[in-house]
Amino acid sequence: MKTIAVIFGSRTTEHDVSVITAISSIIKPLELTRQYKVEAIYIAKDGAWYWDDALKDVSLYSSGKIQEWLHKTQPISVQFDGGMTLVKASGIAGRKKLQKVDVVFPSMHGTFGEDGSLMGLLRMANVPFVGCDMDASVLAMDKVLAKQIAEANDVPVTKYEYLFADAYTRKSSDAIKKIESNLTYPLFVKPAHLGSSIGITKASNTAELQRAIEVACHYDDKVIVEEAVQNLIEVTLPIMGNDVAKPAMLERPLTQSEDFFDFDTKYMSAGGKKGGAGKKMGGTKGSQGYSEVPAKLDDSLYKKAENIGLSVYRSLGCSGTARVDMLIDSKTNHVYFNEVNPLPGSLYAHNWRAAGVSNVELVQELVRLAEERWQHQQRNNTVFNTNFLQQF
Amino acid sequence: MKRLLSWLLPTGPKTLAYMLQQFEYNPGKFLQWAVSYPDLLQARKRGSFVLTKRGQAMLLTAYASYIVWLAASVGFGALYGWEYASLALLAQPAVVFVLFAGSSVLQLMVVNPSQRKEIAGATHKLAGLSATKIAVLGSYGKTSMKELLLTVLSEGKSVVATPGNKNVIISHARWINKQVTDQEILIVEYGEAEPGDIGKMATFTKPDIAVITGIAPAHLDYYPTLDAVADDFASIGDFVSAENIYCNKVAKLVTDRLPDTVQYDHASIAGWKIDDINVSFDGTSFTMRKGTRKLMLHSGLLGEHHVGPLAAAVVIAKQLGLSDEQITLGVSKTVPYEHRMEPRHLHGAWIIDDAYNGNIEGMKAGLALLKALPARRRIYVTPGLVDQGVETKSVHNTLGALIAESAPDKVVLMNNSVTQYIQQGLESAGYDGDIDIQTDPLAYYTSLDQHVAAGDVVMLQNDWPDSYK
Repeated sequence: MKTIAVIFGSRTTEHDVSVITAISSIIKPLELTRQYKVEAIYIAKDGAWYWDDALKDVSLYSSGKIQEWLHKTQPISVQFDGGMTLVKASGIAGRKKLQKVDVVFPSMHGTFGEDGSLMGLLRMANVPFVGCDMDASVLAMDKVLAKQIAEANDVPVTKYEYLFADAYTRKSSDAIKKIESNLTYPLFVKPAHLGSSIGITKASNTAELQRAIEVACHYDDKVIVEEAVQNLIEVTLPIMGNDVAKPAMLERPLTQSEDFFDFDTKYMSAGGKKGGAGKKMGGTKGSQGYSEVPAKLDDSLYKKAENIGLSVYRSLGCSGTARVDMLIDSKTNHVYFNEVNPLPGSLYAHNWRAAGVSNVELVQELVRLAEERWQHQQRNNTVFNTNFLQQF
Repeated sequence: MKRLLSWLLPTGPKTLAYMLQQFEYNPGKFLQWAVSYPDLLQARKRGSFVLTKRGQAMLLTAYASYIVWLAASVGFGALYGWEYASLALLAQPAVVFVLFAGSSVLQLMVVNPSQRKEIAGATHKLAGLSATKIAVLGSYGKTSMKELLLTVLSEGKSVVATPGNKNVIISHARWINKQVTDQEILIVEYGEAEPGDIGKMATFTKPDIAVITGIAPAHLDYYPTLDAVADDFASIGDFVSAENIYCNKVAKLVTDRLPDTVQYDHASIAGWKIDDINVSFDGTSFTMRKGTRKLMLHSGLLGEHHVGPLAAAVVIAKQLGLSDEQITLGVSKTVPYEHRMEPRHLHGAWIIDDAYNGNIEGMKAGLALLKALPARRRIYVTPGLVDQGVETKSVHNTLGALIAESAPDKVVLMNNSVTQYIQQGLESAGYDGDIDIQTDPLAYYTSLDQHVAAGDVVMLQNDWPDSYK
């Protein structure tokens, strides 16, 4: 039986979302397959790693007892021995518990996880892992780089500017001037590397823009400012696959027109900032509140958005799974690429289910894709013999 | 070692009392199970101990004997050395024999005399009533038949029926004593457990009309052959005239014995022709025609196999004087009963819960329904059937073949003593879909939401009580 290590938590603003994704959407269905031994690896907010079956119980986190538990428990270490082995001190006569890991299933959102950091570590360890590889994760997590790559591949994006926090602190007026001369209000200001809509603010004038940039700089050292799309329909498309990308269903979050899809809307208010607006609109409740699956768009617009989503997935070199967010101007039918989420919260299992893929099948397929990509990578020659060292 | 420990732990007596309850306090069945020396920690999975008076007595007996055994073990140890105490520890299964003896004594000294009194009271009450009594019997489908008769007839008459699956004489007596008053129609479900049961129940309730819903291998541990079951069902002819007995045509062994009865199926009954049958997740529609008369009917029940029983209910309703309008309305009010082809929506999938189905004919009907319903993917889930006696292997080979014929995309079996026979049936019939064998049925059922996706139709047939392995 293969051992799958599900890694979650970490030093990120999206720590809590990561815990729920791991426990509800990954560990549970993986265990139900009865094909894998599933190990829960929790990275605490201070960066220490823990490994224990007790970490699979969501009540440990929801009750707040996690801190007490961590206090009593020794962090583990990881051995890189041509693969990856978890090492836990047993506390008895210096004995250690070892567990070789066959596949890693990252369940980390945002920095130190979804941004490619963990993927780099896992590539070094030469262990198969689920989801986008390191390079695609890095590109996807930088909203500016992602847009630049999309533009280079003829994918339409909204007009944007970006700035660095240090430069903005030194001379904010230049940045504001440049933004206001190139873009038209209303604008959206976002930290360039964060997901789950954290730190996003809408700005309709100079004062709001300044405040919004300050908020974004609080979370990130790189900030993107984008023009808002008029007559907006937000849609998102989960995609799965390596060489052959398979779309799930185009999904439309059911937020009020004046809202945008912020963290509370997605995870806290169970259906929208306006008290469950989506429910009134007849949507279904997924991991991110109420939404319309599939999005009710006319066939040609649906197909156009789906193709743009697939094009972005390929352009950024995504593999395993990712979710592409797009913005539609419902009057002009223009579709703009917005951003890519290389590890969607809850894996967007509700959407895959609607597309005919059960939770159990979803995790099984993602593990298969991880192994397929790893096997493909093993074919690459990483050894090059020279006489270089003999000169010394 | 784990098994031994499960008997020694303080949870052991409660599990034994629970299992005695599961065997309906039948000391023989309980003893038969106990001598197989099962792991008591694994025995109790589904249900929980119900604290009835009788259950309470058995629980107290179990714990009293457990404490005596524990004290004896310690006493032996103190008096003769601890090596004797360990010998005494091994005598713990004696709790089983105390429970066996306690249950038998309770049955003979308390339960039987009390039940005789209740039955005598009900017999006296029944003699003073003028209600029309309808007996419903058969190896399967009798609870559904009873419920749909109750629903249809209630549109024009005051009707009362035996509750749930209370289908033995003592439950009939209690029902008559407590719930029967001046109703026009009484519907009584007859359960059969051993030869002679139908005659005993008919002697007690004296039915005017009888419905025989079908015959299939069930309770074969007590009926030596299927013919013996048919003989028992046909004995209703000694109490009810043939023109008042409605018999499902599929019960050929019974119709052979009672050829002059009113016979029904999904195509015809008593001169009525049935056609235009349409099955969907909303229910089943059909049309009944006789000469120039026409009844267009829709029921919430799922499956073509319900058409025959519904048609029988229509004809009985007409016999008892209901109008066409009342009958049509009554049929429209019939809905799936709990755990009997009961559809529910789960994440865009349809789950057909047929957990109370426990016979091969019902399985056949479920598989036909699964094949008929529109689906992206069809999944069939079953642990198999219990109480099949010497027919166990052949019935499950047949079930495997029937599943293969229905060709679901995936078959989920629960690992137990009959799984191999279903697999053999699937294999010999050339089934080439996925077969998934689950080891923990409860875990599978409770996490079904993780296994299904939109467009799936999942047929769950039968449940497997803890008293079976």
